[in-house]
Order: sequence, then structure tokens, then C-alpha cells
Amino acid sequence: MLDVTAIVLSVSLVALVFVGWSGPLRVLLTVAFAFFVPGRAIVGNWPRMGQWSEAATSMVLSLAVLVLLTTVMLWVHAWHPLGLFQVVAGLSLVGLIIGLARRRRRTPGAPEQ
Amino acid sequence: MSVVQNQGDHTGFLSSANSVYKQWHISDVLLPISLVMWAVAVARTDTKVLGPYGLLSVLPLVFYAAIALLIVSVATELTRQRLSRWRMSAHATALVVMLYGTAPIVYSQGRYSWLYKTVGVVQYMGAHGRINQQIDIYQNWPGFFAFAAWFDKVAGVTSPLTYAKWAQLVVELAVLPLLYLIYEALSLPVRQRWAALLLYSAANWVGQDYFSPQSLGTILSLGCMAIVMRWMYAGNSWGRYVSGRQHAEDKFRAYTEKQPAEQVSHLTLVFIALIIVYSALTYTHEISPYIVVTQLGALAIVGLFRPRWLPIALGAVAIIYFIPRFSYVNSHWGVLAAIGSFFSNAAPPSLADSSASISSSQVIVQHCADVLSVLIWVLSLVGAWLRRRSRRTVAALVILAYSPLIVLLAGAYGDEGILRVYLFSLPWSAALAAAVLTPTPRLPVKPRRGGEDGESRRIRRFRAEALRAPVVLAVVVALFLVAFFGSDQWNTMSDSEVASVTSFEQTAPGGPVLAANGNAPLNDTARYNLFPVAEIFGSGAVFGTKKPPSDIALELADQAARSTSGDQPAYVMVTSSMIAYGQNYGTPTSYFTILLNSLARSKYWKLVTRSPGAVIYELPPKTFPKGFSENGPTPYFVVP
Repeated sequence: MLDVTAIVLSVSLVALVFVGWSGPLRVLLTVAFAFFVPGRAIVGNWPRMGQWSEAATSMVLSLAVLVLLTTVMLWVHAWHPLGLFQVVAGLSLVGLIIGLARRRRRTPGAPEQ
Repeated sequence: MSVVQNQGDHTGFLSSANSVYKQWHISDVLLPISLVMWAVAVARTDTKVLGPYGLLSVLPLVFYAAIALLIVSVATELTRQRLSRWRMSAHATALVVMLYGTAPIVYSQGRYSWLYKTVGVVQYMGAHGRINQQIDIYQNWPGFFAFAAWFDKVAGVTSPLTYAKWAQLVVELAVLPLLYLIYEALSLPVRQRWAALLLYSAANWVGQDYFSPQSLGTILSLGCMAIVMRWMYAGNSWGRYVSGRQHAEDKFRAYTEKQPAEQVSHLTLVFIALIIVYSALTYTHEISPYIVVTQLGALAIVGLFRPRWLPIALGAVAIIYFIPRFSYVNSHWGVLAAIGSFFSNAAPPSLADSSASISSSQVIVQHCADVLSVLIWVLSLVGAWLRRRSRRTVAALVILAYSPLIVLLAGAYGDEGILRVYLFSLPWSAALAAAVLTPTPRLPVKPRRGGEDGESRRIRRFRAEALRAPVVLAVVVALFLVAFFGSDQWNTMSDSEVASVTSFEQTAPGGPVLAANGNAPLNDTARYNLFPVAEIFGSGAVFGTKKPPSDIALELADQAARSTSGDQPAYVMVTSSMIAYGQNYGTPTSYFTILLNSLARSKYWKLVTRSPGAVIYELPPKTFPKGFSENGPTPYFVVP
């Protein structure tokens, strides 16, 4: 369920950014993305961490990864925030889908946790 | 909260998920009613004119009734034999929403003048896409600002002012699951965990959870501690202290040696994750990484944390990052001079500026904050004594709660050292203090001869002890409300004030600003570094605390021209929040009147902005007052 939520979040935000729509919905989606999606893509492929904590660790890892990447962008004078977003969203989607597929393969027929 | 479902209640009452969730609780009614009352109260709150106690004086009675009802609801839930995880989550969330969600709803602009500076740094990095480490300390620890600048672009907003006022609510909500993970890893009784969460939220009056590096640092710090407590703390599930005198180090070695390769590679991944989170913390905040290392180091010394080399490795990350920045930090903040001055470093901000005459209301507000801090620490000591038999857990919590005091040896952090210590101590102090609020588990109770049996006495005493929770929580929340909202008369900025200052700094030619005092939404644009500020009134300011002369504008023009040498304009700024601050901190309104009248009469100062929230005058370039001399006092302008 969390993986599907993260995928829907990512796709929705990518679409809003692509069409240039702004407003409170885009801000809220960005909050949800920044606080959850990249970390969820990591935790979703890390079963032992996921068993312990699905959302809280995802939040910490999401924030940490984004802080590191954005800071490095500033340091190397390569400030492309929307480009970074597209890369992170794309990689996160790949990670989320791989994680989903792995768990379904391990437990055929079992609902996704 | 996404933690593994706890299978039992450590108070001895085994929980059965089905029976817990099928029953109706009285809190199922009380909690929604309290939330509705809170919503009604917030909708009816008019903040146009705030009194000496800030928001407290304009909040309707129904607001306080809502809080009281929530505490009653919490109490009824805590007295139940079986705790419902989701109901307790709902109560903790509701408390955070009521305490931290009120201000962003009732105020149109973010509280705290210092919030606006962080907005300016974010704007700078977003606009320039680079860092200038010579501007200020924020540019030397850019993690939060880089992240926020990225966020703005993705969210499609032009300024963090759009959402910054909600940061306190978001941060406090984000902290809840992390704290729960930590308390779970420490094997605290379930009831104590929830009480600790409630206490933490109700006692965090410091206000460092605003849109700032410190707030992100708090989340990352707790993230580090959660990972450490789960996987490296030597008293929890995998490293549990099982029998006899087996040392924790042996346990760690035994664990890694006996476990299959998959387990060891998992630990390697945990180390990598920890390094990533800690590195992000290092780039985000100046002090937080050192406090985390201090806490982990203290745990390692007493054998509660393995591997011992990890605090050294983490400390190396922070120090390597700090070394190139040391000269800047030392020259601006006097790190070397402050080392070892423990007691002066520990002085709170209220005492640091003892020359200012503070209003009676603000004295009371500060006393409430002090009493709340002392109360939490005293409760934590009592809680440690009550739970002294659970040695390892209590020892770990005491170490974590009080080891942040060590950082006071290294500096005062702009007179905020003791506030930082409280902030970093709070998660652990609250956990210990929660032991006072919750019944002591599994105390033997002898049956009375001819009276009620031991079991019924135990339950009766359990319920009587559980009354402590609402009483203590009510006292803590009452003190919190005063400490947190009591200064809003000067902590809040009006729309007009923010719009005027922002518009001015977006369009005016850069130049030094003589501000009546520093309490204003200054420096919230990408050009913030072009407007260094010196204060006119207050301790250490151009005119100090003395009554200004009637020709103060002439003297200011003289000093400003000396600073600029006529090469650029200079400005004088007076805003409504400056006047409100002055009224509470020793600058009578008459001083502002003298200043404004003198500026209006002056032939050197030109009015550039006048709105209900702000008045700004400009001394144009090449303007030198009559009798100008290059020798004389010059204000010390800094980018605040």
C-alpha cells in the first residue's frame, strides 16, 4: 500500500511539474514526496529495515538523501533543482516498482504490505 | 506509525488487538469533540490586537476547554488496562495539531523575526545556485537551505513565506514516529512511550522547530538515534543483555560472528544509512552533529553502545567538515574564547542582556519557560529513581538526557546554549519524566486480610496512579501555552509590515540599514546580504538604552554617511513589530516617536516607504550632513 501511494505521489507530482500547475496541491504533494518517496524506494528494497519501520525510516532517509544531493549541487555549481527532481523521481519509481515486484515474487498471492 | 506492532503491554496487561479495537471508548467521543471545539475556537480568534500576553489574551475560552477535554480524553485512555495504539496515536497527533497548528491558522504571516532571515538565505541559494561562505554562518552549513531552495522550485512557489509558517506543525508531527521508534527500541513500557510522546510535544516550548536548519537537524538527529538505538544499542532486541556478566562488547562480537552473512551485510547497510543521515546532519546544522556524537560517545564509554569506534568515525565526519570553516566561525563567534566558560555559556538569553528593562508580562513568560524546563528535568530525575531497577534503560536515558550539557563547555551559541541543551535533552528527559506519569509496572500488591484481593487492589491503585498523567500534563501544557504564545505581541508580523519590508529589499539599491531594533521581517529576499543591519535602540545599539536627542536624525545621517562614505544609500527602518518589541524590552514608545518626528523634519532623509506596518527613510548617496566629519562613531553593520 505504501509503495503504491509513493508511486501515485511521484507520478502526480511529476505531472503537475510538467504542466506547470502551481497551488496548494502541488505544495502538499512536494511535502509528501520530499518526506517519503526516495526513502520509501530504499526501505522497500531493504526487507529488514522495512520490517522494523516503514514510514519513519523512509522519512529520515528521504530527507537525508535530498539534503545531500541538493547541497552537492550547490557546491559543484550545478544547480538544476527540477532536473534533480526528475532524476530522483525516476529512480524512486524504478526502486518502488522493483521492491513491489520482489515482494510479490517472494510471497505469490499475498497482499502487498 | 510504521513500527512493528507491539505484542504486549509492558505494564502487564496483555493487549488483544481484536478486543481493543472492537470496544467503544469514551475517548472516541471526547477526542472528536475537543477537536471540533478547537476548530471553532481557532475560527473565532481575532489577532488584530494582541495584549501583553500575546495570543493567550485573545484565544476564546473554548480553546482552553478543548485542550482540557483532550487531556481528560488522554487520561481516560491511559487508565485503560489495554492501550489502543491507534487511539493513542490520534491523541498524540491531536495534541500536536492543537499546540502547533493554532499559530499558522490564526496568523497570516510566520512568527519570529529570525524566520525571515532563513527565508532570505533560501531565496539567495535558489536565485544564485551557489554558496558564498563569507556572507554568514548559514552559508557555511547550507544543507537545509539547499533542500528548501530545491523544494521551492519543485513546489512552484516564489518564496518560502508561502508555507514557512506551517513548519512547526510539520516538524512536530514528523518527530512523533521517530520518538516512538526510539522508545520502542529502548524497550520502554508502552504506556510510558505514549506519555513520553505527549510530554515531549507539550514541553517543547523553545520554538526551534520553526523553518530553520535546527528543525531539520532535530529530525535528522532523532533519525540517527533511532537507527542507533535499534541496531547498535546494547540493551535492545538483538543486543539484549541476556544473562550474568556477559559484556555488551562480547554480545556484539558474538552477534556478528554467529549470524549468517546476510545479517552482517545488513549491519553494513545500517552503518551506511547512518553515515548518510549523519552527513546530511553535519551539512545542515552546526551543533547537532556534535551533540549526537557526545551522546553516543557517552553511551559507548559505559558499554551501552557498540561498536565503540562509531562515535569516533562520526565525530571525524563533523570535524573534517568543520576545519575549513573554523577561522570564519571563530572570528565571528569567538569559539576559542568561549571554551571552558561553562556557567556564562549556560546563562539563558533573558539573563544575558541584564541591562534591558523587561516588561512584567515578559518576565512572567520567561519564568514560565524556566519553570517548565526545570519541571521536566526534575520529573526526569524522579522518573529515573522510580525506574531505577531497569538499570540499562534508565542509565541510557540519563546519559542521553544530560550529556548535552557538555556542549556548554564549548560555547554559548549566541546565548542560546542552554536552550539547545534543553532541546536535545527533551526526548530523553520526557521519556524519564513519563515514568512519573505512568503507573509503575508489576509492583507486588499483597491482598488485605478479609478485604479486596490483590488483583482488584492492583487495578484500583493502577487507576489512582494514572491520575498523575492528566494533572502533570495539564500543568505542563499550561506552562507551555504561556511560554510558547506569551510573546506573540512582538513575535508576530503583520501582512503590511512583511509586504513593505520585502518589497523594499527586492527593489531598493543595497545599503546599510539602521533598524530601530532587530525585531522585524528583515532580510527575507535573495538580496539579503546587500542590507547589513545595525540597531538604533537597545543594549549595545547606536543609542543604547538612553533617551534619544530630538535631532537624532542628524546624528544618524552623520554616522550613516561615515559608514558608506557616500558611495551608496543608507536607510532607517521602523516597523510595528519593532515598536511592540521595544515596549516589552526597555524602549518606550516615545523613543520611536522622537525618531520618526526627527526623520520627518530632516532635510537629509527621504521617505521611501510608508505603510501601516513600516516606515523607511533613505539617505541618498553623496549626501553629507552639515558639519560632517570623517572621524566619529560608526555603527557596526552586520548581515543578521
